[in-house]
Amino acid sequence: MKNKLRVLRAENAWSQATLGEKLGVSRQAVNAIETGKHDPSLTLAFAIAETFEQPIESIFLYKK
Amino acid sequence: MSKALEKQEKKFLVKFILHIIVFLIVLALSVVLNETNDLSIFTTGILAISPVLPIIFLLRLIVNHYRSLDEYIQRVMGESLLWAVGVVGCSAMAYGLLSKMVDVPSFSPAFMLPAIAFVFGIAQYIQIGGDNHEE
Repeated sequence: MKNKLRVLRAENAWSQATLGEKLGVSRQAVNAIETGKHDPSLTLAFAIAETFEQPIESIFLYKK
Repeated sequence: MSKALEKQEKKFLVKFILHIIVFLIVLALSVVLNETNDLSIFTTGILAISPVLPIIFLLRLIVNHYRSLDEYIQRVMGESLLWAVGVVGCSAMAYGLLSKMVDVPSFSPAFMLPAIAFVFGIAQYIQIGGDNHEE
């Protein structure tokens, strides 16, 4: 699954640690999601969408 | 790492070290008491396995800590544990099979848990190592 997390984070000038703090996860988790190493759970994906005030489908792109 | 997670991590580390200290004290006591006293077989047996008790409490601490971690760290820890158990288990099995055919030094099963913990640490380091660099 692809995502725009890095772009959105850069637009807000947040570090991975800052975003991690907002989401209640570790910086490593943010890094793993950005690099596509880890697909977030539905709960975390919704939390990310809420943080960036965007619909979930505009952040995460499902691709087989 | 967020401040809340950092605080939680430090608290866990302190508790972890305390458990290890208690384990070492109990281990030392059990060895000294067994060697300096002429105890019954039952008491000797109880003393011999007593260091396992703080390890059980340590295991409970680790499980509670695991539950408080985020999903990615939980995944890393889970995979690392699989690697650790797999590597140590396969090594022990290979060593056991080898000992049936060839004369090899005897190996105490007491080292299994430390070996699992060691491989678990390395596996975690390898898995999470790449995530420590912010791009």
